[in-house]
Amino acid sequence: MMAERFGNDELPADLAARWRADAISKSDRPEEFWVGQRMRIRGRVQRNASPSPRSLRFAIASAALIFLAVFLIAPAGPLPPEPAQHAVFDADQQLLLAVEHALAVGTPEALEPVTLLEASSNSDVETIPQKEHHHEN
Amino acid sequence: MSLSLPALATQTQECPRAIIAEDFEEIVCLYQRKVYRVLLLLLKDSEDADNLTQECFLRAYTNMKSFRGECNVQTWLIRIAVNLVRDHARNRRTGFWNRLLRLEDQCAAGVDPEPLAIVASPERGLLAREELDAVWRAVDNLSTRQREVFILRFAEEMELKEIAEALDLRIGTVKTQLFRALNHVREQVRR
Repeated sequence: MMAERFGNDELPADLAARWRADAISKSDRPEEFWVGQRMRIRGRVQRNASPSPRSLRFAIASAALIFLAVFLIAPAGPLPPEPAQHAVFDADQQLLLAVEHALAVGTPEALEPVTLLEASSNSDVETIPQKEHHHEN
Repeated sequence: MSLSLPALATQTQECPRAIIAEDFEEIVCLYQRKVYRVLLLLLKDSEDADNLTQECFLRAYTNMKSFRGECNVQTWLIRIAVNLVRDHARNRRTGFWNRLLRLEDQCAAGVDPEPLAIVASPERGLLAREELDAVWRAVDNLSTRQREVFILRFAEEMELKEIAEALDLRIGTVKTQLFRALNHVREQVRR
């Protein structure tokens, strides 16, 4: 019976009306539901519209704390390989070079008085025969 | 400046314009039932429909400044609602577990698993009731696109142009989808 009443592109008017009424009745809710829904929407809109300064401050403080922790805990970078043997070698090499340099330069500064003493004793040896010669004259 | 409800209804339906924040409460009052109904018919879950109704108005509020009145407020809200349903449907895991839980609840309660199955009404004749049941079953079996078009056309009595705007489709596509949906409903009712 129903099928004959179908047009090509529309539901029969009475069936469409009944179906719509049925659909509306299924979504029918008591007034409290709509009031509650409006309150929930208002609450969500208010929360969304104004982020509270307290939560903003908390977020900034948390971010700063995390940054600080990462900065303190994390190593500055990969450690260089320990050049222990190189250091020993370098120290020996430096000492050797210093000795060679000192020998090449001449008398070390610390031994300078000895050199002077030696020089003066040599000059004494040379002057003594001259004094003796004066006496002879 | 806040508009009275009838004035806003006239403006939003006939002479669209940009929405101002003061209008928002009135827009919620005017359209919450319609948005909820569309969502309920599409989702077939009252809790999801309630959540997405709230989400729909929240998005509307957030994007209020971008509304330039190219369509009326109702079409704009329905478009947001339909997009929310599509996003919701994309979340497969949630959908799967919700369906599973609902099915289990219904099996435990010993009721028909069809969420919107009609409860027999003593006032109506048995034949009329069967016709209506057949339409509901047919609507449940439509493709997502066809169901959207069918619900907006017959539950909300929207014009084809409005449906096209709400679903972001061409009018030709809306006509095709509606034609196919009606064919399917006709076949279901003939059985």
